[in-house]
Amino acid sequence: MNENLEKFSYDNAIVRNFAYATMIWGVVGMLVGLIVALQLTDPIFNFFDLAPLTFGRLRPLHTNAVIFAFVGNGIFMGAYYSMQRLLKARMFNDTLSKIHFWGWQLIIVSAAIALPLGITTGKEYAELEWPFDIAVAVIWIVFGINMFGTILKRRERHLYVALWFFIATWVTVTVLHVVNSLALPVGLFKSYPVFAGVQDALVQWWYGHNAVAFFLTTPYLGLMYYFIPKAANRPVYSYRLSIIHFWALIFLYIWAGPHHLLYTALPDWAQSLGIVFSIMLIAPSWGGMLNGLLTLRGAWDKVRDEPMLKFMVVAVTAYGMATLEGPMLSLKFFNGMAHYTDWIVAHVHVGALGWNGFLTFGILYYLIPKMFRTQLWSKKLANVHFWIGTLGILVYVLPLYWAGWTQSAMWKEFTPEGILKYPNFLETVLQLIPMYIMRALGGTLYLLGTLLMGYNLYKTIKAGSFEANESAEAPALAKNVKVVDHYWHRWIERRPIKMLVGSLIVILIGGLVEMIPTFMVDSNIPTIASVQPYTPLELQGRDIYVREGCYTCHSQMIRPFRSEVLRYDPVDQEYSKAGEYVYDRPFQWGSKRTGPDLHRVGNKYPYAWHYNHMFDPQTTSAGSIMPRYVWLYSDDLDTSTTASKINGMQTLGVPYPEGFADEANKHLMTQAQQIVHELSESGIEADKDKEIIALIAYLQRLGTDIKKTGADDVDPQDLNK
Amino acid sequence: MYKDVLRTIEGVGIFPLISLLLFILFFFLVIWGTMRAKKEVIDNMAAIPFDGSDSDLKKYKTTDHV
Repeated sequence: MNENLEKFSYDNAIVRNFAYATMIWGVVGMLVGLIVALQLTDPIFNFFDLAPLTFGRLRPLHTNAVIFAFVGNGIFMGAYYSMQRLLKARMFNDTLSKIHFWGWQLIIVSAAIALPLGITTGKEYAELEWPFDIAVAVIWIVFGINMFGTILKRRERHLYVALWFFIATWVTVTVLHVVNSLALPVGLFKSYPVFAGVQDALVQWWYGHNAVAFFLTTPYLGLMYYFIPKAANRPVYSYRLSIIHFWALIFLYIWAGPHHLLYTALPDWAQSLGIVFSIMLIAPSWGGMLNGLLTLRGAWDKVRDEPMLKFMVVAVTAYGMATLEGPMLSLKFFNGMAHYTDWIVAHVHVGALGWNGFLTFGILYYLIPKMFRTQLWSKKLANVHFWIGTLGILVYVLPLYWAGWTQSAMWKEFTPEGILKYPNFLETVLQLIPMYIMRALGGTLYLLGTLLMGYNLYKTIKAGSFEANESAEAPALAKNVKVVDHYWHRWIERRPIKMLVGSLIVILIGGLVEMIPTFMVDSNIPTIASVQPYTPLELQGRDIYVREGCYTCHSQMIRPFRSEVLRYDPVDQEYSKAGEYVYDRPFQWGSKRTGPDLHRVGNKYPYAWHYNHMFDPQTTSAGSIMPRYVWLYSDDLDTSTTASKINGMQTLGVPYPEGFADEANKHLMTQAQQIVHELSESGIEADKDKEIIALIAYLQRLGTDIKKTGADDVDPQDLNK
Repeated sequence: MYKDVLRTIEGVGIFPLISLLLFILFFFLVIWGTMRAKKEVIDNMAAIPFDGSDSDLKKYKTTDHV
């Protein structure tokens, strides 16, 4: 035996805590998901017309709970377990581990309260407002210190591939979170992003795409590279492939964000760059998938016997399917069909339910018996979970693919006379209701499986005895040892900080080459002279639009398709122009059309129509699945925030006249009075102080600026000449 | 129209080109470096998750396939 052998222990308590949190938040996130799925089958599920329980507010809660609470805790569970063992060291500092754990849970609980209350930035997957963003940053740094502290005191000279994925995750998420959260607070729970319109959209989808890449993918690949070999008791199929997988993946992923914005007002070159890199992503993604699956070579008999391996096999297969489909969807042809439809929702759920969900379940089935020094209570029940979960995924995604194709085809279908066959958007939605019911059924099955796992693991925990501190021993690393070999990658593997810097450089190249030109054009978006800042009332109305999560169902981006300009702007047939968004903070382009696009809704309907429609959408649109917004009719508009909002916008460069903030409320009241007057002419007695008036003011303004008489409309063709 | 957004930046077309070249260069460097690695080195690294006690790893130890 080595004389330098040191005795130490692994901290299992922190792993167990994260495991419990993973299970609890997993059930919560899925349950909220089930509620929002039901809300799309019938608006009655927007219970009691209560604002916090409407779709627009619960949907962000669902996505945030699943991504940051379920998968987030899953990452930390797996990372804290594998990191200690791969580095042969206890975590750097137990107190930091505890701060990390409790801090993260506190943020989740705050988010679960804030989002239903309408405290949101209105940017998908980054909805938390600035005080929570700061808390996330602090806790993330605590995790970073704990991780790098452990790496520095390790007893294993080389960093195994799983650790590179954790390092890259940490570095990249830090950059993404900071850049995308840059905002100017105008109140305790309200801020405006420093970027506007096109820039805001580019930054947001650079973030959104990479949140998928570096929160839902790279850390889970790290877990895959540790837990699949451990569960199968075989080393990874090809370690060489894993090196290539790692570097190619982190280099390519960061560039692919713009594929979320094809056919939008985003510059063409950025769209093309996004497409090229998305297609190239297939190679490393499939390399990784095959590496995971082939690790099980010669061990397929174990897959038959071990439910945890079954979960892992389906997880890796789902990863392969989602990472083939993703690049396909970034081709303009498929994207033109799929974007804004349920196809995207299906695609996302192959990843979330299959890859993240099933890998998490596999790891839980591996870890809990191990840490509680016992056998899994029932393999049979785990098998039932596996089949019910797999069935749940299929019943969830297949109807949604069908829904996506159906709706897209209906949107684009013309009669022989050249007019839209389904000009009423609602027709295309009602067609999907049976698919939405199926989806809710699939989600129920999946949730049921998760509950079975909870019961199974509860019984396992009851039967076992927990080992909070698992003793281990390993020789200390000899200092100043000169290792001579000719393999370049070992050089960096022995130098974690350089690995961190290397990963940072690699991801920044992608980020910067893409972002710098976009920021350089800040003042060069073709300004349209007639596009003016929002009036104070419209600005307040816009903030209500953001608060209610209208963007979760309505886009504000008419793509340059004949089928879209005819549908959304039949008179002038104007698609959306980049210069129209220069005052939009945040941008509200949306990513899914459960309802129609709203970018040209201004002046399309009379004021009275909006007034009746928002109170009960079914009165103006029979069969509509939109919730009722009754509280907008009883709640007074909070005008105490107007001045600070105008001041904030001025700071960000919006050209309101000097001193405008002081008289903004006077202006607001005058406009509210005008709207009330318009309504009274239609026989509606409305109260000018209510929130609904501000929302109507905003909706009536949407997309109308370029239509003003004498508008300096920029024709793209003219500019090209 | 969107080309015009960038028209005022001199030589903006070079950005995507630089990015693609950077990646290709980087990618081939990684492949070249990885393929040069010795088999034992690779096998040892692949075995890091196993501490030897809970594993029948030895018989698989020299099986890197790529």
